[in-house]
Parts: sequence; C-alpha cells; structure tokens
Amino acid sequence: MQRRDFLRILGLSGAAFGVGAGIGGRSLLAEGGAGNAALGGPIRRLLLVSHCHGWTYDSWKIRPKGIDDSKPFELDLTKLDQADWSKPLQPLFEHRHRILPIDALSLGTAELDMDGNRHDTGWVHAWTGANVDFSKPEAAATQMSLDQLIATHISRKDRLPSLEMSINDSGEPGRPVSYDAKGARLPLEADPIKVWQRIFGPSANPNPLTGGHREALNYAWREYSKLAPKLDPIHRQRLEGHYDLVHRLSQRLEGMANLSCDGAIKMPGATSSFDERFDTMVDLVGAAFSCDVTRVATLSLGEMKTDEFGADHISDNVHKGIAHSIYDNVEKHGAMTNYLHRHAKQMARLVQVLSDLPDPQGGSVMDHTLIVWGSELGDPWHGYWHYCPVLIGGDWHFNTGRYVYRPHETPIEVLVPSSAAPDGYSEVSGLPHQHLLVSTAQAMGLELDHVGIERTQGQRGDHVDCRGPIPGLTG
Amino acid sequence: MLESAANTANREWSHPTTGARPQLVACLRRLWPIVLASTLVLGCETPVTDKVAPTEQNPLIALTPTEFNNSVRDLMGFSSDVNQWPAAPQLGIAAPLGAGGGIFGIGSPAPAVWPYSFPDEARVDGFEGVDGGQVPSDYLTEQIQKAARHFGAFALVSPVFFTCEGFADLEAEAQSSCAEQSLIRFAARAWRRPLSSKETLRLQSLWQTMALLGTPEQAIGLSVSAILQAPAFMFRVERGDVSRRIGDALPLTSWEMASRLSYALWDTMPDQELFAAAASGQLETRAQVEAQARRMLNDPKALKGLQHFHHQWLGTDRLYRISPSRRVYGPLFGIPPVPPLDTTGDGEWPALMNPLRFSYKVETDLFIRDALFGQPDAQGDTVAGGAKVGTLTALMTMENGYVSSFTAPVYGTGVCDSVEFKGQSSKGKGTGCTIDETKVDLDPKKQTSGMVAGVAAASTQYTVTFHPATFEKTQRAGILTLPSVLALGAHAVHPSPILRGKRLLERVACIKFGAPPANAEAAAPPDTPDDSSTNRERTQAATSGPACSGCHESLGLNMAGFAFEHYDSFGHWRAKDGKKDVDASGLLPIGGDEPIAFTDGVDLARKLAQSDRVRDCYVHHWTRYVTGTEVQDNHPELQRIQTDFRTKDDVIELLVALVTSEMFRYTKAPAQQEGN
Repeated sequence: MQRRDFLRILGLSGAAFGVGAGIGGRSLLAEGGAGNAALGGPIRRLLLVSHCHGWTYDSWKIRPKGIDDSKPFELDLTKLDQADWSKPLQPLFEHRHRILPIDALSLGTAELDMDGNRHDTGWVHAWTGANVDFSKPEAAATQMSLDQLIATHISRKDRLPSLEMSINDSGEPGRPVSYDAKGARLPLEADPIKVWQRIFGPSANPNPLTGGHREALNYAWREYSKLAPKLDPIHRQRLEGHYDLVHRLSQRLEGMANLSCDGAIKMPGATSSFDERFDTMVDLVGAAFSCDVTRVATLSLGEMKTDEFGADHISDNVHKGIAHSIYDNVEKHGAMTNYLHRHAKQMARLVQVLSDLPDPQGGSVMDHTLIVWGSELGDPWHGYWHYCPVLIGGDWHFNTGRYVYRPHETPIEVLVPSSAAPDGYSEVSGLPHQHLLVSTAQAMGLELDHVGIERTQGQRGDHVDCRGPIPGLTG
Repeated sequence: MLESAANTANREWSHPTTGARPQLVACLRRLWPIVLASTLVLGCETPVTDKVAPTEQNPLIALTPTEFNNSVRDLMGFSSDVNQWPAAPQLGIAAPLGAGGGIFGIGSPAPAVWPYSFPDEARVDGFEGVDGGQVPSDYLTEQIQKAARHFGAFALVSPVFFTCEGFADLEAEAQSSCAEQSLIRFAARAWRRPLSSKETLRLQSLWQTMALLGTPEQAIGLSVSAILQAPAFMFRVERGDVSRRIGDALPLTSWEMASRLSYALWDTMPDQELFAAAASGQLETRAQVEAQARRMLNDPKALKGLQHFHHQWLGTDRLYRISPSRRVYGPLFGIPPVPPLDTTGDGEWPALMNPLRFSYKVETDLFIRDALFGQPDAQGDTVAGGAKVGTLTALMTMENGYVSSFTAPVYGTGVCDSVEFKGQSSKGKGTGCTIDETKVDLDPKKQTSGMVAGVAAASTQYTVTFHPATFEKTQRAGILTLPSVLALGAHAVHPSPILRGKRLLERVACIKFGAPPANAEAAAPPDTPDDSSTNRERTQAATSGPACSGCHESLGLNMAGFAFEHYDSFGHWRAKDGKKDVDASGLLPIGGDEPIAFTDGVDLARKLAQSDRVRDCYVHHWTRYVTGTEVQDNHPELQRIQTDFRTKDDVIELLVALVTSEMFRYTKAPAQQEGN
C-alpha cells in the first residue's frame, strides 16, 4: 500500500453561485472559529486512542534497579537506559522526550458503579469519568465524553467537530468511546475510505452546487422551525436534537468544500492487516489535523487477531482464549505483553507520522497535538486496579519525557487476583482516573476542575475527591 | 388521486383546528369533497365510550435506515432489485461514493446505488425504530444529507416523478412549471400527506431559489434532496385529530394512520391505495383499518416486513459478527486449520465466511417465508412437522428449510446428500438432511457487502444455490435450531450456552436479567479447545458460585443454553462434545410457569411453541415494534391481544389485531397542545 500519498487540494473561490459566505483560498489560520484561536492561543488538537483489554501491569511498569516504589518517584525518560524500559513501552523509546506514562491511577469509580459488563462499564468511566446509565439496553453514559467535551470548546463551526474511528480486525470490533451530551454512544467509522470521504470528499471533488446543498439543509431546518411550535415539548425536543445538527452541517458545508490544504492525502486503498488499517487511519488523522478539518479525533482499537502478535499457537481468540487468564498462565501473560508491545509500535508510528507532518502554525502537527492513550480496563483479567495511560505530546502544558509513579493510596477497594490479595480485593487503589481527564481538559484550554464524578465514597465510607488534575504533570 | 387530495388538504391545513369541534363537522371537513356526504357520516367512527387506551408514550419516531431506503425506492417507483434501477444522470449533485480496496484487502465493492448504508441505530432489544434507540449524531446527519443528495438525481429518471411528458424538450417556462408541480406532488408523497398552502408556497420558493443555482435538472435534484431532509419525510410526525379527542387520547388522522400502517407492516411508505383510503377518510374506523391491513398482509411487501422483524427479534440481521475459528472448524469445510507459512492460504477462510454468512441470512429469510406463508406451490396448510402455516408454532417447529452450496457442510454430521460443496459432490457423506431434487436458484448472483458492513467488505459476487431440504427431525426443527441463530450464540471455538440461553429467555420468553455481577465475564470458561470436559460441565462449574447461580441456575439461563449443546459454533449438529456424548437435556424453569422438561433443543423448541409465556412475549415484541414504544404488560389492549393469540396462534391475525387496536390507532394527547 502506498503510504502518505499527498494531494494538494485547492479551495474553490467562495460560494460558486453566490449563496452563503465562502472562505476558500484564505489561510487556514486566519479562519479562526471557536477554540484556542478564540481563546487567544494557538490551535491545539486532541487525539484519544483506546485499546482493548487494559495493561499487563507487571510487564508494563518501569522499575529500574534499586527503586523504592513504596514512595512516589519520577524517572527522566530522556536519560533512562533503554534496557530499563519495559517491553510494552520499548517502542516509544525513540519518542521518549514526548511521552508521559502515568503509573498512578485506577478505574476505581468503575468498581464503585453498579455491576455490569466490566468492559462496558470501563469504557464509560474511562472516557466520561461518569457513571453508567444501565437503564439503556446497551450501557450508555450519563455525561458527555472527554473528546466531545473538548470538541464543544475548541472545534470550528465550519469544520467537523470531531472524528470517531475504529480499527477493526475479525475479532471484537472497536467499541464506541465517544458519548454525546445525553450519554448516547456516537457511531464509529471503520472504513478508511469513508473517513477519507468525510474529510476530503467535499474538497477533493469540488462541487459547484455547494450553495444549493446548503440551501437544501437550510430549507429542511426552516421546515423544522415552522413545525416545532406545533409540537408538544417532547416531540419538539426530539426534532431539535436532529435539526440542530442539520443547522451545524449547513454551517460547515462550505468550509469543508473550500478546504485549501497542502496536507491532504489521496483516497486510501486496500488494507489487509490491522497494522495497515491503523497506519491508514493515522494518515487520515494526520491529514485531518494538518488541514484543520477537525481538532478532535478518537481512535478505538478493536481486538487484534492472535496471529498479529504471535499468539495464534495459544488461541484464535484474544478475549476468551488469552486475556482472562493472564494471572494463572505465564504464556498468556506474555502474549498480552506482546499485544501491548504491538500497540506501542503502532503508537510509535503514529507519533512519527504526526512529527513528520509540517503544521501551518510552524513546527510539526505533533507539536500541537496531545494524544491520550488509554483503555477500558486496568488489565485483561477485567481488573480496574492499575490504569496506565500514556500522554504523548502536549508539552505546551505537560512536562513530558518523564515516567510518573504514585503509590496506590485511594480508599476505594478494587478487584484484584488472589495472588495480590487473598480475599480478592485490595484495600486501596490508585488515584481516580478522573484526574487524568481534568489534566487533559486543562491542557486543551478548558477551565474546569472536574470531569464526570466530582466526589465519591469508597466502600468503607471514605470520601474520595476526584476533582483537579493529576498533581505534578506540569511545570 | 393524491393531487386532488393535496388540494383538499390545502384548505384544511391552512385553517387550523383548535379546540373541540362538533365531530360531524370535522368529519365532513376532512372528507369533503371526495365522496358524498351521506357516505361520510357513515364513515366517521362515533366513539361509544369516553375512554380508549393508547400507548403510555407517544414517541416521535424517525425513519429507520431500512424505512428510509424503502421509502426512497417507492417514491422513485423503482424495484427492490437494484440491478433494475436506471442509471442516475451525472448532475454533480451527489458526493462521490467512491470505490476502493476495502478494509480487509479483498476488495470492497463500489458502494451500492441502493440501499444507502447508514450508521446502525442504537436499537432497543435489537429492534430499530423504537423510542430510545434512535440517537442523532453529526455523522448520521451527514449521512442523511449524502443519501438525500445521492437519491436526488434519481428523480430525473423516475417513472413517477414528472407531472408532464418530455421534460427535457420543454421550453424554459414550461419546464419550470412542470418541475414545480412535480416537486409539489413528490413532496406530498414523500411527506405522506397533503401539503398545506404555506408548505406549497415554501416549496415553490425553494424551487425558484434552486433554479438560480444550476441547471433545471440540478435544481430538481437539489430540491428533492431538500424534501428528503425535511422533518415531514425523516420523521413520522403524529399529532392526532384534536377534533375527535376522547379523554386523553387522540385518534390518528387518516394520513397518519396510513403511514403507521405501512411502516408497521411493510417497512416503507404507503402505496397509492393506502393514500387513497387516507384521502377519502377510510382509515378512521377499526373495520376500515382492518380492511387495509388484510390487503397489505397479502402483498409481497409484507413478507419483507415480517422477515425484517424476525431477523431483529433473534439477531440474525447481525450475522456479519459470527467469526468461528479456522483452527477448529476449517477441516469441516476442507480447509487446513493453519494456513501455510507462505500466506497463500490466508484468504481461504474469509472467502468461505462471507458467502456463508450471506447464505445463513437467506436461509433464514426463506425459512420465515415458508413458515408464515407456506412454501411456494405447496399443497395443504401445514408445514413439515405438522404445524399450521402462519403460526408461531410453525416458526418454532418446522422441519424443513434450505441449504446452500456454502452451508452444506454445516448441516448434518457431514453434509446433505447431493449438495455440491466447493465443486465436489458430497453425496452419501451425510445424514443431516435430504434435499429436494428440484434446485431453487433464488438469485444466482448475490452480493454480501450489505450484510458484512461493519466488519468486512467483500466485492466478490458469489453464486449461491439454495436447495429446499427436509431436516432430520431429531436434529433440527424450528427457527431456534437454524445454524444462523445458533452461530450467533457462540464463541470462536465453543458454543456459548450463556449467550444462547440469555437470548432465548430474553427474546423468546421476555425474562429480563439484570446486569451480571462484577467479573462475571472473566469467570466464564476459556474459549480454547479442551477435551477433558464438556462445554456444559465447564459452564456449570464456572457459574455455580453464589453470585452466579441466581440467574444461571435458578432462572434457567444455563439450562436454556444447554438445550442447544448439540450445535457447535457454526450451528453444526454434533453427537459428542470432545470425547463425551452431548447432554442437551434438562428442566427449564421459565419465569413462574411450570418448568419444562426437555431432551434437547428440538424438544425444547416444540414445547416452547406451546407456551403461553412465549406467545405473550412474541405479542409483546410485535406491539413495541409496530407502535415504536414500550407498552406496559398490564395494558388492557395488549392483554386482550395476548389472550387471543394464546389460542389462535395466528401471526397474520395477530398483526391485524395489533394494527386495529387502540394502542395503534390512537395517540396519547399531549398535556398542552398549541394550535396548528
């Protein structure tokens, strides 16, 4: 497959037929819009990556010889010998100055939520910080997810507010990790061609009738406006949800059609493996960021096939055949370590692609991007105890190039294997991961002190404060 | 007919009805001047009671992806066979759909001209078009807009769009006039009701604006796309007839009833006859609705609607999700369990799985058809197994079905006699079914791309031959024992009694389970080959703890699944699980009813077919499906219909009862309603 096949897309001159306001041919940076530019700062971008099955903590953590992990510590990754890096983090060595692995958190609030499928519960907690709405047929959220929250603040009205994508193999597909303001899951697109069409279709195939399409949308919106007052409030609200989006689509129609960008890429071709699909989506994300088509994207990584990481001799099925048994089968623990290693290699390529892409603001796209790499679980055994995200980039806010460790001291009991606690529960867990969401939101310019749950109580009645960022990540 | 109806309604909709009016006057207004006044009086239903029972909620339902596509097809007057569609003129209206490699590298097809591929709905219990399962999103809105653009151009080649002849050859002024009239007529059909005078004016204004933006053809395409994005097309707006309010209930207007009926029974917009009935006020009484419903259920579109319901009921519209292990099941199909290292065999398994998933879907379609409408040209009114055609019992017990050239190895211990698999006759190898010598080639070229969307795309055109087959009655009977249904309740290596049991109890018996306890999933047995114990033994051991046994044992979740242990992850019948004989017998506690003793899945299916609980549950699913909202168990109309279905067991009569019920014909009046 041909990688990074660039295509210069030239914007059309303004609205071809004089309808609406055109922006073609103008500098992307001059187009403004909401977000950081409106806040007075440079454009920032956010990419959330969520893989399946959490981390094999014992093989993920970094513990140079002689380090005492009963106390907090930090490691300068730019100086740490590569031999001291753990296998799942090794592939990111080349980007060590950009990364910030956080060995301090738990998904403790997911443990406190009602019983349910721990994957579903984990996805909601991990990315919204809030409890699950179990009244829905498929677990929904009770609040907006982090990406949507940030998109609300930083997206341009004339471009896509956010992009939600998944990388699928033949096993479990990537699950929705984005939730709207009502907690409903937002659909993911798995086909790179369709993603490309969303991003570059309007500008790569300039349509002189864009004004007409906008008029069609405006007509539909006006019909809604005429009808709405005649409806009872519940029906009105239902229509409002749809036609607000129609109105927004009308607003961005010409912006998307008149995109002018050196970073656009050609429509992707065939892909035959998880890696290829990942790389293709990464190219699309890079191009979308470079062209300021969107400022927020999520990549939900589906389950890789076992032969993608050399475990096909163990099982055909990662989830049921390997993941659940990491604590009673050394070989399966090793396989899931390799699974993470494979993802880390993919992440390293992602960082490289974004680092190689020039940004219209100067520097590279990566220089203006924050990647949050997380998961829906703490470990493949369905534990919530060690939640091990890696922040990549965002050095305008974070002091990167460090490995940050904090011992678990939060009084929320979480399920652990019997080898860790005979009764199956640890008495304490890591910092609530809500702090990660706050840190991320603040890095993106949002002034808030909590995302999702503000305060909660552990099983023994201890109060737990989930507000504020993770201490010590900045400065 | 619709044109005159539109004229009539222009007057009506421009004079809003506020507050109560004498019913006779209101009735006359609605029907004038289509038929004689004396007939009108007789046509109006005079309530004999001041209380009727609509559903508790009155949701505003958007067209589902299926309904959107079917409605566009009918609006344009095209066939369900997309190969019969004329090519759309290249107007530059539609966003390029593109064609490319596909995410699995086996070549994705050029996107289908029809149906348009929308993001899946969130759904409620597997069903589309139900309140709470429809979620707006930016992406969905974009897709609707793209679909509207895509279909807009087809208006120009539609045999039913233009109100004039030879549009292209007309003078500019005549063209404009024709386009305007055509758009007004199109909008009335798309919105499934007459237009008000103000709506007509706005449409004229739309046309005039669009006409300035491009050629007349482009302007028509753009205007059609606008009409398809308007709320009156996208949503089933039901405000009820305020003038005939009865207590808290409003009867639906005839136009609203026409839409409700057609989407409930056909998954598409009303046809001309239904529109005509609405225009003449012939959808107000129970008898009038019943007459239309019976006509509609005799139409081929009803079969599609019924198949769609049953696929959603049992989840077989998501067959693209099945992904059994090549390592375990490859040999069943003559494929080595491990591909050679040179990767030459990497495509073998996907090349089988895509047409196989497709075959499963079509086999299920055909099974539903035969159970509910009888085999084409069949004599008598019973199906194999003895049940009457058109009953839930037939669906649950019928002993014949279809086998395709791709699924042959799944049936029986080997394969069905005389079915060719991969070009080789398998005659004499199997005993699972016998094949009717008359081959039925329903459609020699089927494309699987629609089915597998979401996981994989495949452009390969498969030749799939479907053979009528009589199953070995000890191995397979009824829809619950179809490989398609069974394969959905399985992991890659082992079938899952838990998944199968949960789906059976939830979907077939309406027994609801709460969320599983923490870590329940991790406690499930690993999905790896294991000859040392049976799947049943491992499942029992994993779920016997106190946190699990409540659902898995007391409520029968495991037992409902164990009944189908004779079927592996493909739904292939097996006598042994590893080294031991399969034990598929048990005693199923089914809600508070008398437990059902069974010897295997076939036996259980036959007994469930006679269960009042199962019949009640089936009615409940249908009720929610046709009304688009959850209906409480104690709703009097629901209970009445359930009681009736318990004895009659007639699916067509059930549907007639549902659409003539007060739940369907009335809507709950809003607390406050502003004037028109």
